[in-house]
Amino acid sequence: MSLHRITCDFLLFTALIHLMVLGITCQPAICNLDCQVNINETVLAKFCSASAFKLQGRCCVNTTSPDQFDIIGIDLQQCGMTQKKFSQGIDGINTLQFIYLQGNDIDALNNTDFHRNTGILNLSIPVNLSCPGGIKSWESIETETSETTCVGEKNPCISEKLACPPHSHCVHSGIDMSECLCDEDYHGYKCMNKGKFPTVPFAIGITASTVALCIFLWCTQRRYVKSDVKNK
Amino acid sequence: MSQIKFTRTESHKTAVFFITFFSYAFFHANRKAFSNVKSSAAEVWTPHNLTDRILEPRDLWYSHDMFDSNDDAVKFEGVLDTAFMLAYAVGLFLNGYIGDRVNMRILLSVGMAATSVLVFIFGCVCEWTLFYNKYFYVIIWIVNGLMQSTGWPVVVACMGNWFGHSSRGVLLGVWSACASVGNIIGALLVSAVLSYGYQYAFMVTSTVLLAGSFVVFVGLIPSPADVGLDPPPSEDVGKHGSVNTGAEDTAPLLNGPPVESSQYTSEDERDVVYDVQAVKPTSMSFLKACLLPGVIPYSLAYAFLKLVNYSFFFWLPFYLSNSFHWDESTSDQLSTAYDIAGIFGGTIIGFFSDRLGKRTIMIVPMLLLSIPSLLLYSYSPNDRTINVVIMSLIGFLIGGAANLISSAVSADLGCQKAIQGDDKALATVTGVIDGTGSFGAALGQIAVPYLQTGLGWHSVFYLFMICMFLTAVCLFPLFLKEIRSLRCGCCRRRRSVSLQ
Repeated sequence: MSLHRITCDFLLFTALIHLMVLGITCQPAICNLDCQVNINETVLAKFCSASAFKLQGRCCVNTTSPDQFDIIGIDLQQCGMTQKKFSQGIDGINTLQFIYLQGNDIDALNNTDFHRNTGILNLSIPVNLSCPGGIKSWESIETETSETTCVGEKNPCISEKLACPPHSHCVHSGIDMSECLCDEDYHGYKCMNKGKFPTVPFAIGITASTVALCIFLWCTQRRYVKSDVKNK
Repeated sequence: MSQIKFTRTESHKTAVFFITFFSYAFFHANRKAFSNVKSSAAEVWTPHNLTDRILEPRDLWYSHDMFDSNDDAVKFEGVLDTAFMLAYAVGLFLNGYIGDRVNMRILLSVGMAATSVLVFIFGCVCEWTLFYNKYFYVIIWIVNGLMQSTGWPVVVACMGNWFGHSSRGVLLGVWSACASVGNIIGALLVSAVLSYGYQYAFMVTSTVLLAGSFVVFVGLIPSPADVGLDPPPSEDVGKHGSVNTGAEDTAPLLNGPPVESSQYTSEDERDVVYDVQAVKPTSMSFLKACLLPGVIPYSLAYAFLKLVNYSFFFWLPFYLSNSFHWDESTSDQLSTAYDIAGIFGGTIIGFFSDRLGKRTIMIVPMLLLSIPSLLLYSYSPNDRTINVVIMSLIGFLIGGAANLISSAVSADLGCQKAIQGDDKALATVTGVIDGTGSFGAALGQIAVPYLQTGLGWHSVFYLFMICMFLTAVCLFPLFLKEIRSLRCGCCRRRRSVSLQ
């Protein structure tokens, strides 16, 4: 994600005027593929133009601020996609809600290929494939002649009631994927630590009291020591 | 003039009492730090071990894999305890010997500073750099054991130098609470900072110890002779020629009648002390110190006793959190009841043994009583109040006896009449008794985790009961001798009082 951002910023700076004139914001390469299906005739395009979102290439983009935008939909019908191309192409995008992959010769799709997308509402895939994560990961699965549609990605933390060790909680992190992250205030390995040690007050306190005690003891004790014994 | 001198002596005595007290207490707080973070350390050294699914992110739950399971980590902690205690035992023999020969102030402050640095490396540096290596840990802990062993012989010798025999039982009884107070300080410090991470437990205790080493370096006066004062009156030399003629081998335990030295005029006192400046006391050979009467039986007895006492010290918080599933901070805090009771035990028995002039006669019944108490404790229900009450009883009996033997009895044996003018055996004898004891304790620390994981906690308590019985057996000959001499001693004392 951050890598993607850096590239974007770089592009923004180098071709600022050009981009402003054309009104194009930076977008990942996967949005600019040439495919056999005209993007304007797709469900995604209709949805995107009907709502406040903007169609950019094959992606539907929700622009939240000039330098930040969320890609919420992507149409890759008959784009010659493969599992690898797709997975690498959407790496760094985690706001996808609509994905169209039918008409591609994809032999397999795993839940990890979708990275950290947790809000997929509609995933259309070729009929030869089953929904990633299996039936338990989706609200419903609709099968037609040319495509399978996986509807409504489920949050396994809720649907499977996944528990986490003490001081951590379950977080949905992708299709059929969850993480146990530390509760607020907790940190460290296995979320065992809480709060931050007050290093500075401790250091000042111990140093001051040691110096005071040493001076006191020197005055009352060691200065009485006879020099011949001391030097021994 | 004499008034000023008196005040200065008192000031030095007070300073020595508190400096030695707290220097050893801080040593113990550092030891306690490790026993109180055992559960946390075992967690940190192992990956998450729930098997139903893999937790993500893996770095958070599985990146530390020094051990596969908690049991292995706990066994390793037992190995660390044993390595520490073995090194500590060896170190006690060495440092007792060295302590009688070098500047005790330097030895103690160097030992404290080195210990502090080692504990800091063990707890903090290894954690911050994520360097978890079994062998490195063991080596650090062995060197730590050697360094920590500078503490006990030196502080006991300093106390022996400054305080005479007559008040030794109660005074050293109070003073020997230093170990228990250290445990309590350690437990409280640890439970206060444990939530920040177990490394902070080590950081706080080791920093305090380092501060202590500066204080010792600046403030400790090991002996009255260093400031040109007379050593405390040594009754053994002057007063009891008549008492000890018959019972030479139990001399140290016999010749402490409850006579306050204030009964004697200052002239009498000056007569009995030898001139430190003129005659430099020579140090006693190691073998000779071992063969002093009473040293061998007490060493053996202390080996069995310290096994039990230190097993409580090292494993009690773990036992509470493991067996009753109380959380670690609660277990740490409850386990201090054992130490507090030990302080009372040591002080009260010390007081009465001063009155009686005998120590074994008080110690043996305590040891025998501890056996049924241990049996009771092993069947203690999962109830904090009942548990703490029985724990306190055991602390009183076992901790109290251990405190008394390690301090007052050691000092008695190190200053006994058989040594005569040579007072330099104090650190050596203390080292021998505590060293033998620590060997026993070392063996116990490896036995506890293996017995516990193999046969359960009950087997551990049976081991303790056997050890307490053996402790009593070792002291039984001395016990009988004291009973016999108590009868004769009474008539003799009457005679010697009438002579005055």
